[in-house]
Amino acid sequence: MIKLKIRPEYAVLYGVDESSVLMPSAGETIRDYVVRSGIGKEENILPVVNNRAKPWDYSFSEGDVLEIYPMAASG
Amino acid sequence: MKGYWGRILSIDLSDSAITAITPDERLYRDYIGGSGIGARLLYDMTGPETDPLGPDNPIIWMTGPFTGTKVPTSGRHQITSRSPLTGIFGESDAGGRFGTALKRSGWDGVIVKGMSDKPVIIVIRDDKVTIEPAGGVWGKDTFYTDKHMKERFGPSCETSCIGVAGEKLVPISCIGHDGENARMAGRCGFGAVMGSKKLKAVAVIGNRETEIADPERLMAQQKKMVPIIVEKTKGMHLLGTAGGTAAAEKMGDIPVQNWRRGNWPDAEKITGQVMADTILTKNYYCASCPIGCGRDVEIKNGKWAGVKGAGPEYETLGLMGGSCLVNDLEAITYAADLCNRHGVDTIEAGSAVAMAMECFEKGFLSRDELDGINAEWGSAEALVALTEKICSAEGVGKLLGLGVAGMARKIPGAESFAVHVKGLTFPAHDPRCFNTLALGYATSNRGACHLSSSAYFFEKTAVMPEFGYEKPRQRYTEGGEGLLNFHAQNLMGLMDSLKMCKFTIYGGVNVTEICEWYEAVTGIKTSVKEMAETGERIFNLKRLYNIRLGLRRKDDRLPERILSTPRRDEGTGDYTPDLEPMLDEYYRVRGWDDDGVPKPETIERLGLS
Ligand code: SF4
Repeated sequence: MIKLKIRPEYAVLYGVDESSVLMPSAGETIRDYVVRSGIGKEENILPVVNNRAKPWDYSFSEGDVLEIYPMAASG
Repeated sequence: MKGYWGRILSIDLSDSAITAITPDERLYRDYIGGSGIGARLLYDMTGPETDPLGPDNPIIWMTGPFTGTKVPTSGRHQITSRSPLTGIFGESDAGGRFGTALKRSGWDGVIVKGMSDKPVIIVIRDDKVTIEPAGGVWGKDTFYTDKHMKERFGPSCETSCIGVAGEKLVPISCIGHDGENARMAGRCGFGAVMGSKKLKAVAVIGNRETEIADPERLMAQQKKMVPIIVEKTKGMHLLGTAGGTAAAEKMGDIPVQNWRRGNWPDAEKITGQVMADTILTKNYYCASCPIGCGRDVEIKNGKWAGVKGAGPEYETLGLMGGSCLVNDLEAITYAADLCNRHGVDTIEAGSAVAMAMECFEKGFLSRDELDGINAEWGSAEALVALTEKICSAEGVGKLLGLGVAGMARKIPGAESFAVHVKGLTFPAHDPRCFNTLALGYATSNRGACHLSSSAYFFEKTAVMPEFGYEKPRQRYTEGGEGLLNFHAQNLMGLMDSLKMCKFTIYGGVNVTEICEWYEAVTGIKTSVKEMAETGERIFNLKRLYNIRLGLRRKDDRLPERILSTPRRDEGTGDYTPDLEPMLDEYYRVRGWDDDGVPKPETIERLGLS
């Protein structure tokens, strides 16, 4: 089981309702999951897995916690 | 030549001479405007012997061909001078409305040299240019000065002015625009350059528009690009630059405790979201901008009540927040407001306070030496008290107002934790988070500057398809940092010359769109290759300015703390940048020798002989 948390600022920005989003699966890459779930565009997302910013080709393992942060520009 | 007036105003404050320069068209072709023409003028007007605070150092306000047009985010101008903070080439870009007003006054730019005996202001009303006594605005803050000028010269008057810090020649002082909306030309200590000339303000009232070569083409491009820019930068509109704060902490980008550690969960308390939920009143838009990343805030109650105006940017939150471990958004906003009013760079001020906190912890500065301020990490009271000292240039504020490099020169042993390159402190982006940023900081012509290459944009979300970057680069990819910085620095120099906000890059703007706008505005046919080469010429000219001052590879450094101390957080792990191989690749790509000097054939190719 992989847990998904969507940061409130991402949810507000892109109008995503966490309760209705498809969950990631073990073995799937972050990139594939984002496309499959329709959660948003790569360019708008900073994916954080187990509290660590991860590359797009990272494959999920059982027990991972994925957090979706907005990749808002900063200065 | 459309998009320009073809004339630059020159004012000598020593003898009150006011003249119009009509540069050769070649200058506009080769250096475009803004940063490029500013650099060319500075190169030609100064030499190694020029004292940054002497009469021979000019201060140059330049617009670009896009300024004053409908090109999105083009309401900007560039200020160029030799920096009193670093002693080397200096420049600072600002948004707001001053650039547009200057362009509409019928001038492409203003050069001010010499020195007045008494405090003065310069007033530009189209062709009528006067030097007038500063009168009651000398000794007043930037908000008051801007308001006073509007009352005196009418609501369309826009002002570029200094606060008390610039008058007192504080090395980290800066130049303010737009009054309480505080669009600051923050970096390089230019407040002190104006102060040394006893120039309080340049006030501009302009009502003319430059001719556009092809208005229909410009309009078509607007219609195509503005909705894309607006959609892609929605986050910046809603949350401002501060919207990236929480993500920056996760990635390992935000400075924490004077750049000596990683995680800082308290970043959650100072995010753009928190600002939006608490003190935000409305968005602020620079002229011609569809994004509106600026924050207007108000603090009505509590200890830090009384602030009404610009809210803190990400950079300010990073330095005054993360780097000082201060998690009180209202206290940071209050300290930033002090800086805006007094005309002080919040990046340098936040960095100086963090360094003072570390000096206090290590026993390098006692409480007595800190004027009784208990400079403990995380103390919001200490942040505000030390910022007040910097702004008024009193007591220990004189030491902190030197900036971190100047502080390190005065405090034995402190150089090991003074975080700067070439005398300019780091903005709130960590080169241990993006290796391209490490090289970008080391080679930026004005010192540690995140906007000179903005290479880290291309490790986050941005792309440069024209140069082979179809997708954002993965962080920590090894090799290629030199090539990416080459392209990014050339592009950023170009944007600073045309005058466009770099946040449009997040909005999908690239060189192809820039060429389209340039042709529509000026009527000059161009290409991606030619534009890129113009950016390259401008970057190399600034490099040659510093080479003439004796700078070489030895100066393309990163501070000891960054090279030797990993953040050890979840975002960056044990990474520290390995700069030497990156420099080797970069010099090769740039056509420079091993010591970082442009080779004769490079100088020749770029027409810089
Ligand atoms: S994006 Fe922000 S900084 Fe850039 S021009 Fe617009 S309001 Fe100004």
